[in-house]
Parts: sequence; structure tokens; C-alpha cells
Amino acid sequence: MSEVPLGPGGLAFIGLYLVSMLVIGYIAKRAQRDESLSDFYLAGRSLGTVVLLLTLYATQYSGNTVLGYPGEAYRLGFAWIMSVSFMMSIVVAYLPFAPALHRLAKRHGFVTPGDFLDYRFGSPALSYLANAVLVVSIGNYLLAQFMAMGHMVAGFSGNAIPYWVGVVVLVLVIVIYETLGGLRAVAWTDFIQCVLLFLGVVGLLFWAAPTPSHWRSLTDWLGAHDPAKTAVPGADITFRWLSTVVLVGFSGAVYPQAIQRIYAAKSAGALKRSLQFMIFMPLVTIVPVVLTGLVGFRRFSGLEGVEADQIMPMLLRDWAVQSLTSYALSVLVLAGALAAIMSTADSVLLSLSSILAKDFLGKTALRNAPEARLTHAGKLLSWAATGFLAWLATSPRITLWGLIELKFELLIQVAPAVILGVIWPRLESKATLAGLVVGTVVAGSLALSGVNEVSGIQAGLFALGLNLALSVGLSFRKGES
Amino acid sequence: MQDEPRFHGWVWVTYIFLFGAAVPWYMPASASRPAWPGFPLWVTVSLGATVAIAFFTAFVIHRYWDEHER
Repeated sequence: MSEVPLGPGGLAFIGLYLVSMLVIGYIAKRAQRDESLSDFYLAGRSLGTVVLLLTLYATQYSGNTVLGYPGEAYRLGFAWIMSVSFMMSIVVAYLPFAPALHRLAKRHGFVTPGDFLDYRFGSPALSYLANAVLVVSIGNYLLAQFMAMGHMVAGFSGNAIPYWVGVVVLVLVIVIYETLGGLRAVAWTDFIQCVLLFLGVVGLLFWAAPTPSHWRSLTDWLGAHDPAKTAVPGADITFRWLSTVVLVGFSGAVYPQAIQRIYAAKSAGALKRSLQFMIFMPLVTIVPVVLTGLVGFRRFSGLEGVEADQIMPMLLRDWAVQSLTSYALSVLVLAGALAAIMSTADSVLLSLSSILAKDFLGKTALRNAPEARLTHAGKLLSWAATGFLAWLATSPRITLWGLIELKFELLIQVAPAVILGVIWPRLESKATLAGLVVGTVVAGSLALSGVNEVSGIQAGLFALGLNLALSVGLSFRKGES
Repeated sequence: MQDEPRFHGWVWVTYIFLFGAAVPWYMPASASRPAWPGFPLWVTVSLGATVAIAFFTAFVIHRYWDEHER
């Protein structure tokens, strides 16, 4: 299919959406109180329940949710329903440490995750290493979002709009509104993006399989044509399920952008209430997405490996030409998918820029510089990082899910320092550093040498086990001596 | 000291139980047959456990997260 089925109406809708992002960026700039880091990166710690909920939702559910997950459901079948429990595990993983971290952040004015590490451990080596791991991990994540943008645009347009054009145009919109308004722009655009994402997901359910009789028919069809898609998961998938709950839960909770939302909450009450809603979001978001992937399997069987990541654009193209209503809904789903990708990318980019500016430049070249200068440097770094990653994004080689897993395996190595650091006073800085070094080296080496599992345990979790054993064991030993 | 979920051991034991129930390691192969509301039986049971996790979490946050500054 070479024509662009989006049509003038659809293009106008998407265009309007993109322009609205830029307008919000401008309004957010006008709302700026000062040039401080906390005003730019944390919206002046002013996020109330609703904005916090929407920005958490829009940030946590990404391009991978809308593009990668249907592809994974296509490959794995109903077993991908595991993603409901592992997305919930992120919210559960907040519970041990978020209450205390929010209080500490308010009291001591934290802006980045590194600020907490500096306060808690006072070890420059530990802070630098943890920040380096965070930068590599979320840089990788941002790259995945950029690639998802390109796939979405190229896939939906039947390659009439090239992949690289999709990447460049959307990345430009993001970096413009992000550097204009900081977290205010990101959180306010999240409002529109969240509404679009939610309507898109509801639209998906409406199309793919709206009623229990459709679900039953889908289950029957899969059972008859590919019984593995409905079978009770075997030991290997069960093990992957359990380990992914741990891996995603603990690494998702220490995303820098997640930690910065804990800092940015106006009050503990706002944070509490937003998490009480967030815990339900996997049910209403992921179930439709998984069903869509399975409907895609029934409609377009035979896609292999990376090809399955194209199932969403293929379905949308297919639906768009059926009727005017289905066309309008397909545009809505496309906009929702783009919104999901962009709302995650902008948050990750903002966190990346804050860490580079405050935790690296602010401790070296701009050590005693005023905050306004650091904020300005952060904006420039946003442009530089975006340019570099957009360049990398033009050569996709691995599946989207593969990219995300790589991120989790490194990111989770920071979890002991953050989570145990908050809740366990005996955790000692040198022990934590030793654990982080070993965990990062092992996780990185295994990832680079293509080893995904050690004795059936995901490589990142295996490395986390070593990391925890060292952090806790050495802390006990030091305490005794 | 302000109350927080981490101080209540039974909460975490319950989470282990609920997440354990969400992973269908205990389901027999026959649970792949369609059940209410149209999914394979093991999917319905797994989703039921995740609904329980959601309500339990909302309760834990409400009951054990003291939001008042002291």
C-alpha cells in the first residue's frame, strides 16, 4: 500500500495536535516564575493530583505500549497479559520508598536523583557512576521512543512518509516545547496526550474486540489455528513473567523521570491520590492493546520477528479504508499512539537534560555557576542529546522490546542505592558503590555478549542479585566492625 | 515517625500472594479452554488477581500512607 490513507482531514488533525503542543510550550514559558532548576525541571514543585496522574500515566505508557506490546502479543499470544501485572508492579514498587523520598525532596530541595544520592551517601564516585548508568539507560529508552515515532509514521503512511522524516519532525516539536517550558510544558502537554492516548486505546478496544462475544470468538479462533497462543504458559514463560514483574517493577520505579515526579508533587496527598488511580491504569490500557495484537494475528498471520512490531500500523491502515467512522477512529488511535510516544520522550528528555546539566556539568565545568546558567546549559544539552539520538534512530536493528529490556537491565542496578538508600539506614556508601560497580559491569557485559539469561534468570536480575548481595553483605560487615 | 506501607509486613506478604496468583504457574493445561468473559480460563484468573492487586494497593495507600507533615 503506497498511498497515504491519512487524507487531508487526518493530516489536519495531527497537524493541529502538533501545533497545540508548541502553543502549550509557549504558554508554559510565560508561566515560568524564575530561571531556577526546580522551576524548569520540577514545575516549581507545584503538580496537583490531576496533573500528576496525567503526567505519570502519559509518561509510563509509551510508544512501546502502543507499538511494541501489540507486536509482543502477536508473537507470544495471551501470555503477554503478563504486562498488566508488571506495569502494576511499578506502582507497588513505589510504596516502600516514595513517601519518605517525597518528604526528603521537599526538605532538602532535590531536583535530580543524583541529589538524593549525594545527600544520602556523600560519595562522588557513587553519584557519578549511578548518574552514568541512568544516562545510558534513559538515553537508550529515548532512542526507542524516537524509533517508535519513525515506525508509526512510516507504517501508517505505507512508507509514503519516510521513517526518518517522522523521526525528525516529531523530535523537533518535542525539543522545542520542552526547552520552552520545561516540566510545565511536559506536564500540560501530557494532559492532551493522555486524553488522546486514552481515547485511542478505547477506540482500539471498540474496533478490535468490543464485546465478550468477540473475545470468545477470538479465543476460539486462536485455539483452533495456533493453540500455543491460548495455552497455559509453560515453565519458561512463567519464569520470564515472574522475573519481569521484579525487573520492570524496581527499574520502572527508579526511572529518573518517575523519581522527579515524586519530587514535583505539590503534596504527599497529591502523590497518594495519583498513585491510587495509577494502579488501575494497566487494566484499562494494556488489555485492549494485547487484544489488538491478537486480532492483528488473526488478520495478518505470518509476520516474523521485527516485522510483528508493524502490526499496529498495518491494522490502522486496514481499518482506515473501511468506512468514514473507522477512518476517523483510526486517526484518533494514530494520534493517541503518537501522543503516547511523544509524552514519554519529552519526560525522558527532560530528565536526561537535568542529569547532564546538574549532576555532570554542575559538578565540573559549571561548578559554581548560577542556577539560571545551569538551566540554560540544560536546554542546550537537550538539543545536543536529541540530535545525537535522532541520528542513531535512523538505523533500527533490534526489536523495540529488545531495546527496552536492555534499558531495564542497567537501570535496575541503581534500585538498591535509591530504594534501600531511603528505607535502610545501615546501607553504607562503599558497599553500595561496590554493588553498583559489580552489578553494572556484569549486566553490561552480559548484554554486550548477547547473554540474556544466567541459569534461567534474566541477566539484569542475576546482576542485581550480585549487586544486592554486595551492598547488603558489606554494609552488615562494616556495621559489625 | 509517620506511618508508611513499608512498616506493615502483612502488606508485603499479601503482595507476594497476589502477584503469585497473577502468574498462572499453578494452572493445569486444561485451563486454556474459553471461560467467562471470553478469555482462556487462566487469563481470566490472572486478570482477576491483578484487579485484586489494584484494589489492595488503593487500600494500602489510603490506610498506611500518612500524608500529614510533622
